[in-house]
Amino acid sequence: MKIGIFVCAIFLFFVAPLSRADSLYVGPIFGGTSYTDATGQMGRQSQTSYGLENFVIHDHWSVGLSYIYFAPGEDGTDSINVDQSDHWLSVQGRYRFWNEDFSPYVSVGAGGIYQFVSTTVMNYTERTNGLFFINDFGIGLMGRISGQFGANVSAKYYQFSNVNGFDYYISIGFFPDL
Amino acid sequence: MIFWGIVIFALSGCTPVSPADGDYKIRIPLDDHTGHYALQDVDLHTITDIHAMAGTTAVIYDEGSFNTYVDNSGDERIASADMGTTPSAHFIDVGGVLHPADFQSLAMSAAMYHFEYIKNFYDAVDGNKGLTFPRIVLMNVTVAHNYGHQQVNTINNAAFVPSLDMFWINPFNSADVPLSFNGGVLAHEYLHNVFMARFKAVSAENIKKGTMSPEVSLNLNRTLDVAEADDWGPATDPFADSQYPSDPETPIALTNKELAKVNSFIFGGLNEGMADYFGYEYSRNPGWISASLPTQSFRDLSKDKIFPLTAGGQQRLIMESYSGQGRNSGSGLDIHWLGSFFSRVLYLAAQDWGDLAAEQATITFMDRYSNIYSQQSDKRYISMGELVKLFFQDRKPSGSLCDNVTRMFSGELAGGSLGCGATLFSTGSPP
Repeated sequence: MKIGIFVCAIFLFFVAPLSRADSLYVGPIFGGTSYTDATGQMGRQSQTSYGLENFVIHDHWSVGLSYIYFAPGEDGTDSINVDQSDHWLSVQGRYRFWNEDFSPYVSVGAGGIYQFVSTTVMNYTERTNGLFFINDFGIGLMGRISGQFGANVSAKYYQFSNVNGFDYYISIGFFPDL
Repeated sequence: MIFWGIVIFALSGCTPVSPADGDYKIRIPLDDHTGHYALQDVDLHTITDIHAMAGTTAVIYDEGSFNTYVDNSGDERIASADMGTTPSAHFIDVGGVLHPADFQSLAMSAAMYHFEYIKNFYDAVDGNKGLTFPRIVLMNVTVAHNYGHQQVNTINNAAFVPSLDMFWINPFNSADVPLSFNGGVLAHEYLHNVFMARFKAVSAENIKKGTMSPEVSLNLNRTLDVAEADDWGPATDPFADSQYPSDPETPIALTNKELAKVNSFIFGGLNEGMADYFGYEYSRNPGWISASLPTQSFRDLSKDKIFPLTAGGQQRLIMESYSGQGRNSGSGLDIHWLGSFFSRVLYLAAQDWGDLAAEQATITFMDRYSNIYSQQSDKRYISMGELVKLFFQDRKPSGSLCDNVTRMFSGELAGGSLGCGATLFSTGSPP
């Protein structure tokens, strides 16, 4: 909860002073997230991920919120199994190399990841959830495609607890009038 | 400026959120002693790295792989070996209790818990003599047996592997309770380790004294491998539905090599029987195996049973097993089936004498049997009935224990031969 409030506060800190010259982008996310496989520190598994992001662009800078959902899914047997899903909310800060309609960028982010775990043992299911601080850094390419339509392609490395991995996505959205 | 502020903020969170080393409280499924599993909070005390599943009692590696082949002499040998990797178990800390966040973390946590408590359990009967710690446990290990052009991967199995001195837990592919959660299964495998250590110690003494059987001495590892593992045997009791052998025989004269073979089969059976019994004592559930491997429920220690073979019948069927497709082919005897009668004897003794007394008697029996086996197994036939008598050497059974054991082995043991009860039974065809 505290991390969620913190993430929103950071976002508002950057969004509040927006001028009419700044651009706001909103778009859905579709991509993939890999994560450390519990069976080996070197191994990773990947899942399709979905979400939503927005950001504002001010000169070379951009800041925004992103929400990503991915679910490793159910693993185990009928008698004993575990189902996990992950909700990742973060503030993303980006530096755009070119102050043009389209530009490559580097990014860093921080926020919280909420894990929801259902453990089923002989038809009895117990639900647990946990919140972890998560941070990431990466690269990408973003900007306007045409008129109010825009896109963002992102690839980043993340880490929380003893889990790490890569997240990559494409977002095609629009720049609403401010 | 803002960018670098965010960078510093982001990097400040790089340290994983993890509990401190030391004791841990963890939530795993446990058997309630009836085969019903439920989540419980338990304590771990010997963990050095909870994420890596490493401790001073056991260290877990995951997803190793072994390839084996059969050489010209019929022995199975390892062609390639990969121990696997260090795990990266993940947990959610809920009020100081670690909840495994995925299935593999849950399975490894359960295995780690059981190995800690099984070690303590065996400490109580001096069962860890000769064992070194931490014990190595390979989970989800793929074992590919290559028979010519055919490759068979082992699944739904666990084993103690004497030649490698480590435990294997293979991938589990059924709807039931995976083996890593089943304390009875793990205590069973652990007993193989205990018995191997004691047998090796006794053998070393006999080698020193020059009294070791040449056949056993030559094939020490092979002898242990007979009892190595738990290919879990046939899916059902091979003698269910009263399909007893029709013509029990008296033992026949065998060559030294044949004697060694027959005795080594029974050695394997006794190893399995004692392992099943200790699986019960640890889990407190006589039907511990059924939750994971219901087809093996004939090994439930609480089930009444009659050993249908005479001394000669055992010998004949064991020789037939060797001449057939192997001991688990279904064409002959199976060591787990053979052992299930001995485990029943130990279970009945525990009900009569108390658990600790029966456990200690079994440990004493292990040493005596190891001594006899290592010196005489290529010289004379050591039948199941003789071994039952050996178990009761120090403490004669009485009352219902005497009646039950005599009745169970009435095909081989004449009434009164255990030094108890009336002469109710004589050798001959089983009932």
